[in-house]
Amino acid sequence: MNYVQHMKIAVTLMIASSLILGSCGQDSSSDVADSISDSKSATVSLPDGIFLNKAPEDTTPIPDLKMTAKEGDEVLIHVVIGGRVRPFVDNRSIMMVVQATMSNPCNISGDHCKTPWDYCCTPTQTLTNNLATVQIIDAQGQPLKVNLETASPLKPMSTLRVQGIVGPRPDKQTLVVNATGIYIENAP
Amino acid sequence: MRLLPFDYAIRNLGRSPLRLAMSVAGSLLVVVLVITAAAFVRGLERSLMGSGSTRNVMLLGAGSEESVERSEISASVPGQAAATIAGIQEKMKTPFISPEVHAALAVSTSENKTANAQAMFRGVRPEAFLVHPQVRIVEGRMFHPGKDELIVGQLAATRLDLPRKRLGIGKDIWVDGRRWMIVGHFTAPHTVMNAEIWCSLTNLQIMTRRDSLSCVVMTLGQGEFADVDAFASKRLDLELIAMRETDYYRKLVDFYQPVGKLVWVTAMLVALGGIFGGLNTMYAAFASRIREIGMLQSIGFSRMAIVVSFVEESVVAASAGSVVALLVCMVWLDGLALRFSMGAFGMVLDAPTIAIGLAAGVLLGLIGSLPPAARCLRMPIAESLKAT
Repeated sequence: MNYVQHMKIAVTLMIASSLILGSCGQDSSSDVADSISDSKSATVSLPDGIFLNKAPEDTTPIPDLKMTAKEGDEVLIHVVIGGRVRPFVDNRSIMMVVQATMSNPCNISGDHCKTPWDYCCTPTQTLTNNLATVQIIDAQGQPLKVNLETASPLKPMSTLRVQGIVGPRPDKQTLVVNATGIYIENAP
Repeated sequence: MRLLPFDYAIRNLGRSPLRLAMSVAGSLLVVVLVITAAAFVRGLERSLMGSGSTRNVMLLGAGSEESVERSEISASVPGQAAATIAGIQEKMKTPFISPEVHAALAVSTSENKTANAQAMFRGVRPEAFLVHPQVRIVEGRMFHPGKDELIVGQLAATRLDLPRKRLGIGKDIWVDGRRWMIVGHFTAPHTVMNAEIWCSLTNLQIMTRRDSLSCVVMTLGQGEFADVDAFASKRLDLELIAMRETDYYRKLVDFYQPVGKLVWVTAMLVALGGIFGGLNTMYAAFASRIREIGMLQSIGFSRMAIVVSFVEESVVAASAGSVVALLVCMVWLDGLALRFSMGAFGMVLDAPTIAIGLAAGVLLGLIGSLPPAARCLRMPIAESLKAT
């Protein structure tokens, strides 16, 4: 029997194996095509002039605003991007921010926390009192379909001064600021 | 290059039936071990990954992303989510939103016995069947809200280490001193739900003395995950986190990866022992044919042709063992239920598992023959012809 005949036997066995394997154990978990699809954000950009060149003055702490602010008030806050593991909302111009003057135990030297911006070592109630949401909205009042982390210089732990208008306040803990100007004090 | 005929290798296998039987048996054991390891890992992964739907989003308590049992959210979240988030799937004006309570509770088989095992309970409303379409009631009926009734998954008995008929329709179990009647069985193949016990959401809240929920699971239609995430980001009072259901279970797969790796390492170490045993057998088999090897070389067959023939012998014997191993595993292993911390899962014998087993057999034949063949061919022809 020569080399060609050996190859024929080998190929026949491989085809038979493939047919056997292909006909058994069909995997039914193929719902890739059915997955939640988020619309593309490539064509949407942030408004011109949203990032300020000069730091505005006279900020108000978030806990104070939560007690007194009403929808429509103009406010200026001094914040750090963070408050949870993913502070940016995917595909929306929304981010979580924490009062900048609040200490972050995750920042202590020697702490090897991989996500220090989540403030995981801060008591929950303290964090909630100092937490707010900042969004950049369009003319219809809806957040833009753009990821702030990839479309701007903003990163977790960036320190900012944000000026904007207070959004609806269904309760004392909710504080949404529709940003009209953002000054980046320092990036991580 | 002129090769030796294939049937020469096959006829040589029959020279020593005992040696052939040992080679086949050795290969059978190694391949059974490899298939068992692969079926275990595949079953565990598939059970966890299959539990999540790509169209579902979970709202959990902030900080509880890794364990829904530890999560607590307000009972008002389903209503607020329905009112605020656009694009949730609907059927006949019913939104696909399922408020749920998940709790691991101790189960006893009689009133006076102490509980000997824990089962995962899920308190649900009828919307749960919209959100989790993998779940189907196959026997009996759905529980009535307000009554102490349950439905149990196919693998719940495995989870509780009880015979299946102990959890038959009409049987009772005791949880926290309270009697519950089983009124139905459901199936949710290749998901963790298959080992769960489902009851009315309100009843479970009463039993666990809470009015909060563990999570809300919703199915998105035209809506986007970003809309749910935005809702969770803005409503700081609710202290929520939004996660795709698949991401939640993917984290659990990552958590159990060290277990999978340990299983593989153990299987490989034992397989290595089998390979060394096979090598020994092959050394002995080829050593007794040194004169034959010398004769083949003297009549013109090259060393490579002889090596190919030896490899063919070894691979055929190992492959025969692999095929028998595969048949044994298909009968004994496929669907075999095993307990783990989250419930129970069935071993899975699918195409990748079978391919791994068959490949292991072929590799065993290959590795088991090359070193002995190379050793026997090192001898000069004149010396090998004089060998006894």
